[in-house]
Amino acid sequence: MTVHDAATAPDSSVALTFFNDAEARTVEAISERIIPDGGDGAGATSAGVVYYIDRSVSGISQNLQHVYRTGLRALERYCQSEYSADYVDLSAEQQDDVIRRFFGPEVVDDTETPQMYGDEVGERGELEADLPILRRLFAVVREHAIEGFFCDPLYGGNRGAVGWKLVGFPGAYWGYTAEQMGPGFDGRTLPIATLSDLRRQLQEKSLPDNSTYYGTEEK
Amino acid sequence: MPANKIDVIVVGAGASGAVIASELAQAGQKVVLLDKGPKHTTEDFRLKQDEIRYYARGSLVPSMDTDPITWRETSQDGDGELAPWAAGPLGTANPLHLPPSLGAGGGTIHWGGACWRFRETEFRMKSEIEERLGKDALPESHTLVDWPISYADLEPYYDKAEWELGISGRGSNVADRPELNENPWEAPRQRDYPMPPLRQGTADIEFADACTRLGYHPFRTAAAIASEPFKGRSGCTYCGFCHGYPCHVDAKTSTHVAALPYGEASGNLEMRDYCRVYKVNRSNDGKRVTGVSYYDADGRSVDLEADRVVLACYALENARLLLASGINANGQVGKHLMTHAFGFFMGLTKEPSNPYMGTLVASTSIEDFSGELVHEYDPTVLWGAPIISWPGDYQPIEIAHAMPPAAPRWGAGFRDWMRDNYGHVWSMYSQTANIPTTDTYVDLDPAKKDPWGQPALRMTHGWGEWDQKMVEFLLTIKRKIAQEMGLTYWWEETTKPDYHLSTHEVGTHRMGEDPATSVVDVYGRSHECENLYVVGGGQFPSYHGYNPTETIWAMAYMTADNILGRSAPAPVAAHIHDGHTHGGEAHAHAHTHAH
Repeated sequence: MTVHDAATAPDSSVALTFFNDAEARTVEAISERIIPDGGDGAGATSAGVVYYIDRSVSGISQNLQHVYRTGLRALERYCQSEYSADYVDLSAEQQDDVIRRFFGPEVVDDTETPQMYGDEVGERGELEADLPILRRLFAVVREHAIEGFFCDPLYGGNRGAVGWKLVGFPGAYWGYTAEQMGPGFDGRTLPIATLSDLRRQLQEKSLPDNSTYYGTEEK
Repeated sequence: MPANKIDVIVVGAGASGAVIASELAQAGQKVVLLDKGPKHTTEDFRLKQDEIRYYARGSLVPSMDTDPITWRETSQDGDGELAPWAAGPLGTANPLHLPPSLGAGGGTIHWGGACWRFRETEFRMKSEIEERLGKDALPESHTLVDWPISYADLEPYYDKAEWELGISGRGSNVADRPELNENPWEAPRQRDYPMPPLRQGTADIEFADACTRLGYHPFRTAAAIASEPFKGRSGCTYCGFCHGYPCHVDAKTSTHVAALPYGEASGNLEMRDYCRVYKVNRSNDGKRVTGVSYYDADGRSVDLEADRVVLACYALENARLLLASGINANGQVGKHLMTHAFGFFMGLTKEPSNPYMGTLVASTSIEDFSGELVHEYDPTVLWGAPIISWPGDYQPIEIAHAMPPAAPRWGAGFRDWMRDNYGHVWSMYSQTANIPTTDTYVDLDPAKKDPWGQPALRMTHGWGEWDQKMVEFLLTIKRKIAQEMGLTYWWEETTKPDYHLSTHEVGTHRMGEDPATSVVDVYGRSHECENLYVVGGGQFPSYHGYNPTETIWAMAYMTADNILGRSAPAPVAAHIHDGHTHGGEAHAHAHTHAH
């Protein structure tokens, strides 16, 4: 069996490439409400989702920098106006209410259009101008949180492979054998492997032979 | 190769382009193959088990920033908008609903590899519908026509594609092999596939068993994936990163490994990557093409001349290039657009389905409701399609995007749904094509330009009631199968999907014998410019329930033979018991199995 060290020795850097400290804490708090820890150690915070998002926004998703920067500003305006507190200092229930207001409820009737939530006209005066950016912010954070929870740990999220372990996805594999694909095989028994593990095998030229996988005989 | 004389420029190194370029080069023609994407190597793909890179960020497929496509539902809808289904909240790409991958191999880099021969009746779909359902059955605005060729014309080329490029499967209706009979409706074949079917995932076996109990006729889906070593390529390792991903062991039949190396070995083929062709150039009288102009990787414009030009850059870009070059004398370029609705049907199995293993095409299909067969069950449905199991090759982010409408989108409920159900996901689908009408077409967007100043393509495409009826009928069968399989929960895609790109767009440079009503002849040769060929799914006069690529390959081999003045391949006897050779018996099986 190979050594799956990348999954058990997570990237522990808390350094930031785009967000300032306060922004990072807010994004982390939103992400944690989108994918909360269920008491089993698997949630957006423990997965380091905010570090995935931070690196994405400074790199491939630079086009979203303004969504975060102006959106988070608008969020603080809203939270101060509504709760006289920053988002990170709200209770979990209040934080969820904010998400419901701008992203919509957890479960939507499929005949409704989620973007319409929070669209009450004139209710909050000048804050109405912030509605489009706040809706966009929460849609973007939700998508980024999912990516950061299930990405390969190389991207900075899914630290300790907590997202993969939660759902029973074994990660990056060269292949699967006939026995593993057979009826009754519980895939949750497979060890987690990451792209770092695979790269190491490439470097060490210790790749298993492909016939291990395409062979049809049951082992 | 000598720089001064080029016989053929092939534009696009994908399914048809790489095959045609390699066939011509092996026959001694000097070929330059241009592609706007990179010349991939397998080393680029060794660490491809990466859902962020290939799925979430769609790194192989064209971006709407560089290759914009606009869309509107009908021609009454005014200006088009940038394909709204192609990007999620992040503006990144879903590779299943964009044009195919760029670079060597094209769409065959990231495809699932589903391989089908069209059945005999598909080539005369219009006549079959009118004869069976009446002249008025088709919508008034339809532009459907029969194919100018029959299945028998293509059979030697289907066979060649399967054995040259490498397709795995188990055929039915195979000459001299009566024991191969799982699919009673398969068109006659001169021989079986060169490799046995891929290994099924566990839930696929449950699908097959349920279909048998329901009285249907399950058979193994053919796949452009090697199930055992083939021509120096590895057998499939079932890594589970297949559709949307490149192959890390060359088991997938991508033309960058299955065709291109043979052409390059001849010394007559030069591929130039990162070369974006923007214009086909013509002689003064317009009757011939002289070559193409392209922007190279540094943005310089280069003019290249050759005796012939082959456009092989997908149905959409082929049409865009013709229109941008002013080659459209009869107004037919871009008309008759057809694409697939998938009727996705997802469910949860009782036992773990381990959906991250295997490939989506290591699967089982039924043809009981294909094509005209559906008329026996519901004569208001114009045309049917196979129902195909999709047993694996699902990563977590893709499933997070495909959750049931009633599942929580965030919060503890979202997290717990993924925890409890990801390992039990299984799906099936079908592919029904829209009936082409006067309001399904592509043209040049009047305003939108790409970063090189070239006009963007505009799609006008909606799903008709008749199109939705096909999806709905097949959903009723899927529900029966789901119930029989004992799925604990299931959910369905709408009959009117919000996407209008499926990587299966066809019909936009229709082939036909009449130069007034078609763009190219049966070999893909332009009616307007005698030394120009425009090939691929754009040639299809009608479209059906099958993935297009095996037929595109068969037609590509036919085009190469036409350019080279060669006749069709002679049938290959699969079992030579009597010591006789069977050369020269072309069409031996052509008329013996008419249904």
